[in-house]
Formats: sequence, C-alpha cells, structure tokens
Amino acid sequence: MNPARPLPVGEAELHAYIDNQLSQDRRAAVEAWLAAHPEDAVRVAAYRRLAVQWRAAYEPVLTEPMPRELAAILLKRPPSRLPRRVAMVAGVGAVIGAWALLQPKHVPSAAASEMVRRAAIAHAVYAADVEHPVETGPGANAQLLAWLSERLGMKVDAPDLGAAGLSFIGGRLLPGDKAAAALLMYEGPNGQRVTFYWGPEFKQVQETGVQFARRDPPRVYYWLDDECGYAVASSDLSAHELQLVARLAHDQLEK
Amino acid sequence: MEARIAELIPRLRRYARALSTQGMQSDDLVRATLERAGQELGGQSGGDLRGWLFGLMHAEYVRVLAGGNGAPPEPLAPGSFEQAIGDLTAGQREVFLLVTLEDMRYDEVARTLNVPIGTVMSRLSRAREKLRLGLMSQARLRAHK
Repeated sequence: MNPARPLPVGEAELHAYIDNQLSQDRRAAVEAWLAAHPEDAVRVAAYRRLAVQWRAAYEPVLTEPMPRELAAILLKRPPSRLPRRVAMVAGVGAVIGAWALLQPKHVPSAAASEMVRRAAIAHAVYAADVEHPVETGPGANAQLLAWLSERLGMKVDAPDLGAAGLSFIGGRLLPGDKAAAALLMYEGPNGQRVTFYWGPEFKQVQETGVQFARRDPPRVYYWLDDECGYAVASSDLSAHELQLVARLAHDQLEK
Repeated sequence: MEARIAELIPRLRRYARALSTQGMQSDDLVRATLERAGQELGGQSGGDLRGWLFGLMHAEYVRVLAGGNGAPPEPLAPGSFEQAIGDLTAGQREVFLLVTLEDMRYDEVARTLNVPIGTVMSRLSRAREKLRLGLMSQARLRAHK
C-alpha cells in the first residue's frame, strides 16, 4: 500500500509473525526483512521448530484418561448459584405460579436441575476422551452392567438404541452425593457420542416423562422415576435427534 | 458452566504438565485450579472462561513456587524438554507455553498473567532464545559423545 519504505522490523514483530498475530501488510514487511537478514531467518525457523516440538510432546496429554478425582471435583461441588436462584424464584414466585397453571409442561425440580448439571459435566468430561471413554470394553458389557447394578443397588440396563444408529460401547461408575451414579456410553457411525446418566439419588415418586433440559451443548433430555433419575446428553446430536434417543431409552426402561 | 470448565480440563492438564518442573505434581496444580474455580464460580462474569481458568492456574502456580521447601531440584533427564525449559524463569515458561500450546493472543496472555504486554513480548523473546540455544548445546553435546 504505502510507497514509503516500511518501518524496520523489530523483535516483537518477528514473534508475532511466528505466532500469526501480525496484520497482512506487516507480514509482507517481515518476510522481506527475513529475506534480507539470514540470521534472523535462521532464528525464526528455529523458533517455529520449538513450537512444533513442544506441541507434539504435550499433545498426548489431551487424550489421556481423565483422573477420576479431577472429574469428581466438579461433580461433587454443590450448585454454586443456588441461593441467588432461590431468591429470584421467591421474588417472582407469583408470576411462576401463574405460568405453571397455564403450562401443562413439567417444571424441573431442584433435584432434576442438579441431575442435569451432573449429567452435562459427566458428558463433557468423558465423551471428549476419545481413547478411554469407558472402563470396560464391549466384550465385557454384561459383567460391566452387573457390576454397575451392584454398585447402584438397582438393575442397570443398556437400552438398545440401534434404531437411532447408536451402539453401546461401555460405561463407568461416577461419584454422587448420596449414592453412586453410572454413565453408559453410546457411539454413532461417525463417532458421535451420547452418554446416558443414571442417578438413583434423584429418584422421584411420580414418573416425569421425557423432559428437555439444556439447549447449549451438551444438550440434555431427562426423566425421573421412583427408582432413579436418567439423563441422555450429547454435543454431537441435534436437540431433535437427542429427543428421539431419549424416547427410545425411556420407552424401553419404563414399559 | 461446569460442563464448559470440564471440557477445558484436558487443556489445563496439558499446560500444567509442561509447566511443572522438578517434581511438582501437575495434576495437583489442576486440582487446586478446579477447586478455586468452584469457589469463585459465582463471581465469574461469563466472558473469557479459558483466560479466567488459566489465570487461576497462574495464581496457584505462583503460590506453589513461593511455598517451595528449598529442597534441591531433582536431576532431570539430560536432553529432555524438561531440562531445556528448566533454564527458563517461571514467567518465561508461562508465556512460552500459553502462546505455544494454547495459541493465546499476546493480549490474552497479558490479561491471564496480569502483566503488561511489553513484559509478555520480552519474556517470549528470552524464552525462545534460551530454548533455542539450550537445545543447540544439547545437540552439540550429543554429537561429541
């Protein structure tokens, strides 16, 4: 653009050039500078190699199995904004009361909200773990379900979600406040992950039917019955697809 | 919010692993960061979640370094990345790793570490030059063996 001689290139710009944080015209100026200053060009090339080496050396950490105690910190934490939410609900109680009368829809209880929160965290923690999402491989699914049933004190079953293109690939035990929870993992043909959370501590006398809970990924649908709370979560499926999955699971478990 | 934090845990672990030297347990750094995040979650205004979490880890890292028990550093495998990065100051390490592993913009690094951007640039420049020279001399040593 500017016909005048470009400003000389400083040390900071060499780094910004390496890190792709330069404007287009300064990029050109740096490239011209490097062509005329071989010592700087050698240095820049070495700095680029450092970045490649360091990224490659630490990349594997991203797919390491998540230590259980790290996930547990988030899973066990009591809901942070509960006091504020309670205050707000009290303040607009009358409005909500009127709204509830007009709505045949289910209003999520505090317990349901807490379960949805945990199901979303568990999904975020474990579904992203491409190589070690489950504790037991598909060969040992029967033993896994028997083991989870024992730990949860109820029969844990993996519903057949083949109609939605999903296969059961395994599961794991999760910490809970009052009782252990379980997470079953399903996978679609293109690697889409769906998790199915079982939380016995969220059981409720009256069965709720399938409810929508979270629009932002991970999306969540859930229901509660007199034995357990259940939640399906996925970041890969649309809300509509996930709803179908939730209905499939619900109809098999609540027959 | 916790789900979004959970998604960032692998990246916090990667950074902590690269940052930790001399016997520091990198998952302890992550654990302390997550616990602090849990306590402060109410005050987090939503904006830049990653910068906030890495900022918490920075505070934790500084705290751990300050509380060092004065034990002599453990010998490191010669020629390793740990040895090369062990020659950097803690601040240089942080800047180099946030830029390299997290692809953070310089202004984000400055906010995360709470230092002026000029400090970010000088630390980055020193870190890269030390690492380059360090790895060169390591290579020379190997060649002479």
